[in-house]
Amino acid sequence: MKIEIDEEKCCGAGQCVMAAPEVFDQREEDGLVLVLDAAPPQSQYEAVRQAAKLCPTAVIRVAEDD
Amino acid sequence: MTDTHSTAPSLPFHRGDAPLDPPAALAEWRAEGPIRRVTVANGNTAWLVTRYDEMREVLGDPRMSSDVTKPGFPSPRAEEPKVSLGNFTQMDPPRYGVVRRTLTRTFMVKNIERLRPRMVEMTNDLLDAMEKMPRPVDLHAHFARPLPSHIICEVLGIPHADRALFQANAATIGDMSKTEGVAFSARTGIAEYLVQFVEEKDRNPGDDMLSDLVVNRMRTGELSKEEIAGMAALLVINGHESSASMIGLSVITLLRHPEQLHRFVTEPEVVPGAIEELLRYLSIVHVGLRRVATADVEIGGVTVRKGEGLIIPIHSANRDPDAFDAPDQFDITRESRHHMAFGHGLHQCIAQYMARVELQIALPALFHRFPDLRLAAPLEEISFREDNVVYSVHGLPVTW
Ligand code: SF4
Repeated sequence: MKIEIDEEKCCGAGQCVMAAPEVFDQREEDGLVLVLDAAPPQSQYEAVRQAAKLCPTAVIRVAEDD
Repeated sequence: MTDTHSTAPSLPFHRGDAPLDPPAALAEWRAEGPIRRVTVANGNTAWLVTRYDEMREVLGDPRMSSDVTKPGFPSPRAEEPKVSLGNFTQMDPPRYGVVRRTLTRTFMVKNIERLRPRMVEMTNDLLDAMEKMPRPVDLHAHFARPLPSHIICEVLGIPHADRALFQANAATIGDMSKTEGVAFSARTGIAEYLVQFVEEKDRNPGDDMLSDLVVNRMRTGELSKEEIAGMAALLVINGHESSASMIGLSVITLLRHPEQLHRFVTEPEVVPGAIEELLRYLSIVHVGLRRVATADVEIGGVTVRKGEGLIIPIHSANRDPDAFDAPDQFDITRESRHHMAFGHGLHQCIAQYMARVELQIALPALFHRFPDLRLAAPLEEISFREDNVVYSVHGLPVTW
């Protein structure tokens, strides 16, 4: 799995951090999304999918392994 | 649509004898179709979106505007809306993004977590005071309302001393039986009052939100003093009303489900999920979010024309059976994180994590302090506030 983000659209609601705290954080200086692990382990896949779904501004794009 | 005196029904607010459920017509309309015409306060028509999926679509669509001054905007009041400075809920990009991003740091998950110990203290102080009061106690007046108010004042860095002013004004602003002029004065009253604190922070910056805005945004010319006061007013108002309502209604809901309440109190790990379910089930913003289309947009099989208004009743989205199984059942173990209680799209509530943590702290603490907590009046005698933008109780007598 690969995570891509479109930071421009981030509104800092923090849904991603709540859903997948090991993969997403918010930057100390402005509260916008920070990807901690752009290629997360399988154990995080579900949480990352949830984060992508919950993100209010569709910032998070998930490319699944085929 | 700009035809006056439409014959379409209006968005219903009255809940009859089911005070915790959205008005029954919303479920009927949802079953009939994804979008329909309704009459708005000024007599014009707007589109009412009835289903979860279409509501998400509308709220996520950049062609939908939040600008209340645009012709066709479906205001909840009959009069022309007045715009107050700094009210970012009524802004569109690019200005919206600029203003919102001045606040994201304050409300980010990490910073709210840092505040958790203080929130616990403030909660316990109020419970201590309640414990000494003669019973029955009005939980709404002595716990549900003051707690969120103390917390938001602390975040902003302003004293609690004048919270009576905030509380009276905050309730007036959402009161749909009051005219736009009265609501506007209440709104600007709070902003004007807050200007002095903006000035004070300029002389004496501290470690709080207003100081952050003064030092990093006002001194750089990004935001004016009045804009900062307006933004702070908005946060104070919303910080008061919605969490206060959620605390009171959550207490009623949990008391009506004793087995789930037992789990809520004895199994801390179920609390966060239970709060999400309370947010879904109660969805206190019950007048619908409002937008106006800035282009022709296809929604649920109809073409919404440029300049037509849309109402997005999120309380109804959160009871859509296509999004939640058996949606009218309250179930703290269900997966409800995708609820729309905080909206969706770029205006999704900026203070949502703060609200969640407030509830995660306040509700368990209340039931731990008063294990026998119960309503001191039958549910039928509780007065519910139906004529306000935020659904709530007027008062909540409890005993233990
Ligand atoms: S959920 Fe989306 S908008 Fe919110 S902080 Fe994460 S990436 Fe940004």
